[in-house]
Amino acid sequence: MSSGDSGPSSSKQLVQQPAAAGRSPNQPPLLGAGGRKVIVLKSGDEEEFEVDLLDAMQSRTLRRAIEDGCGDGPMPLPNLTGPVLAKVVELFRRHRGDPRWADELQETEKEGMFKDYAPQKPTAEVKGFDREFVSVDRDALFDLLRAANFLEAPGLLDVTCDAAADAVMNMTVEEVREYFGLVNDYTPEEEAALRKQHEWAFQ
Amino acid sequence: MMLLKGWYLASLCLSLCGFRVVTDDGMHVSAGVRKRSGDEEKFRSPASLKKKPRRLDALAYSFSNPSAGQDLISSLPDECIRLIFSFLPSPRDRCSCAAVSRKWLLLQAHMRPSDFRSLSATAALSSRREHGDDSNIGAAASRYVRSHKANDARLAAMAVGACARGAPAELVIRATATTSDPAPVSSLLIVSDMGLSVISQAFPELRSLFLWDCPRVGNEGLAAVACNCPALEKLHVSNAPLVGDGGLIFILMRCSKLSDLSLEACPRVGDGALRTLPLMSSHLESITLQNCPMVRDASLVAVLSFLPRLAKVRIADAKVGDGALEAIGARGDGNPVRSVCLENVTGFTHVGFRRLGLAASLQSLTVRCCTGLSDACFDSGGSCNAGGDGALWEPTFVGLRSVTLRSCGAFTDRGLMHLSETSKQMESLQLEKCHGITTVGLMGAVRNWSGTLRLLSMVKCNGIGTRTQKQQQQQREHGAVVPAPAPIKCPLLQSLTIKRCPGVGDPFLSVMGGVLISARRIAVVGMGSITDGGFISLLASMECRSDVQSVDLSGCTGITDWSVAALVSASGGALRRLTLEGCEGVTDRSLRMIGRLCPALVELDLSGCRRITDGGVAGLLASGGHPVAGGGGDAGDGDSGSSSKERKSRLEVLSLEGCGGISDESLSSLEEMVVRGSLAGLNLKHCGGLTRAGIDSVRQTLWWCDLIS
Repeated sequence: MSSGDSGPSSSKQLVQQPAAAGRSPNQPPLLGAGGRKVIVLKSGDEEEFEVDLLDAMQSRTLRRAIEDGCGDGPMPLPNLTGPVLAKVVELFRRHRGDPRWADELQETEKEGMFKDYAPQKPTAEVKGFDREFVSVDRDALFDLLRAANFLEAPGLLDVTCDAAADAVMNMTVEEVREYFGLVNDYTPEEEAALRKQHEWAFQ
Repeated sequence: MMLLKGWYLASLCLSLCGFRVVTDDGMHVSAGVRKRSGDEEKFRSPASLKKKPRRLDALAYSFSNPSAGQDLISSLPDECIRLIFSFLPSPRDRCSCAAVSRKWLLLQAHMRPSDFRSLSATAALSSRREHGDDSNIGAAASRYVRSHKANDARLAAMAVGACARGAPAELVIRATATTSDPAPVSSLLIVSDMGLSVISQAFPELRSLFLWDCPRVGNEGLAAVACNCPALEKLHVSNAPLVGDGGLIFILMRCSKLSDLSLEACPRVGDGALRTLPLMSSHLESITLQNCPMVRDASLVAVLSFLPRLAKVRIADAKVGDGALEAIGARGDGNPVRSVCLENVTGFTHVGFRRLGLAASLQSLTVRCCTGLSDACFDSGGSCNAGGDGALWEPTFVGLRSVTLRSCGAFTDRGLMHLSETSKQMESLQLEKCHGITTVGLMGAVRNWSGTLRLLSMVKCNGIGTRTQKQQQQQREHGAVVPAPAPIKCPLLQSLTIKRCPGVGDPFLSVMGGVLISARRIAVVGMGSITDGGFISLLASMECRSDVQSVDLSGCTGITDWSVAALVSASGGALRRLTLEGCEGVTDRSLRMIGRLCPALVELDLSGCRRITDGGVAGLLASGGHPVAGGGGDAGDGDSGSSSKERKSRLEVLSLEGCGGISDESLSSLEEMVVRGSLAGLNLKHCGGLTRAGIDSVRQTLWWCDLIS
């Protein structure tokens, strides 16, 4: 993991990339014979992270990019800050072999890319890591949620959504609104009708 | 194009558009599919996206600025919010989330039980136990959900609660009274297609749906029901101006098990839906069409002819030609219609009605307010001069078992006699406001049906009972059937009702007593002309008096203690229900006799018996296992040994409404009945002699008793 230096000018990048992508997208560029490949993810604030290719496959967004042949150079993720991306990369590493996404991967996989990627049940250690992973404040949790949504990583989504759900569990309506920063758009009559239907829930 | 790298294209495209994403390093573009809908607002320039090849998006919003806005969750797509909800299966959390905002209400309402994480299923169960009482009530009521004053907010909330409470099989939706001013479209305070769509998704196992007074529900709502509830068997729609053929055709196509369809006041339903009916709904057994002006005869004929399982037809407030009635009559014996009800129907004549009568399997016929119903309708003897077709004069209505006629002025003794001659299996005859029927015709018909008749009811029939000399003379002159002097006996007649027939007096009652052999229910209601003599002679004429279980003498002001004495001494042992509402002649003596001789009495209504005092109420206690001191001599019956025995009163409901003669002293007797007996319902309204404090103290000590005051 190394901090990325400032890249070259945009125009240069734009000219270079098509040349690098000259191959057919049907042959994933990063898959050599055997050995694990890594790709480099680059956060919005120019931090670069090396990720095992197979770990990165946990994200549907990244997988599509890789399958499209975008994995050669550092992959820019402008919407993720360095700290967020660092956490996400760590989670990908810990979730290696997580059946939540590996099943799906094996279904779509065509060329034996992931044959050594046996799904395994999350161990207690992984679960402990997950708990640790989301024990952050609200804003950080929302950063992670948005990252999970953007990356379309099922494992990450599960962990973060579970944490958000835990946070609002047993809250009153007003507390939930405050937590998510939502505005009440009911008319008083409508709210009264709602409450009447489920009075016991609002005690 | 396809060979080019996606992200390059995106960059190129965005740079051409002058999009701000292309910064100094030109890398603020990422490849990825945004297959989710509903999050377009996050893109600064949706127009530019259209030019891009698939799988390309520019995610221009910033992650790194948490303090940018308070609305943190709205930047996430609905799927993400639903995912969070999926970890919150407890009903309480679901309701809390649903109450947060309109969007969340709909998201919650669309959550299915299968959407929630399986590992959380146990959490849902335990949470149900937490809310023990409510959930139990919910579970008990879960088969039938009735939402009067319904609106979309309540329906959506109901859908949210459906997971916890179990989806019901029957749903009754009645909207609030329709307001003349149009409610705002987005309001959740009306029942609209949206609410129906949400609720139908939540209740996929729905079998019965009642939509009453939902003027905003239209075809889309019914289409949603059709798609979500394929098991629907019963659909009742009433007062739905927007429901038309389209929505109904959806229902008919999707809900193949539909067996009961009722359409009332649906002005847009017409031939389109009705023509689809015979094609799609092979299971339909019962159809009701009321006030659907767009339905025309031709399609009605098709429905009545070709629905294979149709057994019950009700048509009301409509104009129906002879053709439709003929169609029913022409159905073969293989798939007969068993029940026909015509209310306020015009357009048919006796010819069509007789053809209806050719349906030998027709068992029940109800006709209300139909001017077309005349004596000729039942005439199968050819004495009517209309039509020379010999085939028409077959016996009609031969299988009829139950007839209810109301407000049919043109129906007279002659029609009743014709009917009684052809249909030999009549079990139930109910007449209301049929002023053309006199005692002569009635008794003639009863004679013909004496072997089968079980129920006889006459309500507001002015002609009954007035057997004047003049009438008898007329009958003799016309040579019509005159009741022979031999007494009529109806061994099966169990129930006799005579209500507000002004002509009925004591002599008629005594005649009816001779007809009855062992009645279970006798109701003589609202007739001031009846005296003790009439009622006692009715009882005396009965052969077997000990089976009478229910007697209603409401509003018979001429009834006094003598009638009660005769009744309880003859059939006190079997009597379960006694109504003496407004019988002002009833006094404490009756109550003491009732208390002593009616051990099986469950319901006693003494409303408006003003002469009842505390002594009478105490007398009722005799059956409550409390020996009444000095009560024996007053009651005047021989068998007073039972009062000393410990007997349990079975009285459950007692009404003393308007009994001004009772005071707080009675309360102790009543408490006794509640505590030692099984009294569970007590009406003490308008009892002027009772004090508020006394009633309140009873209410406090006997909290389980349903006390109305």
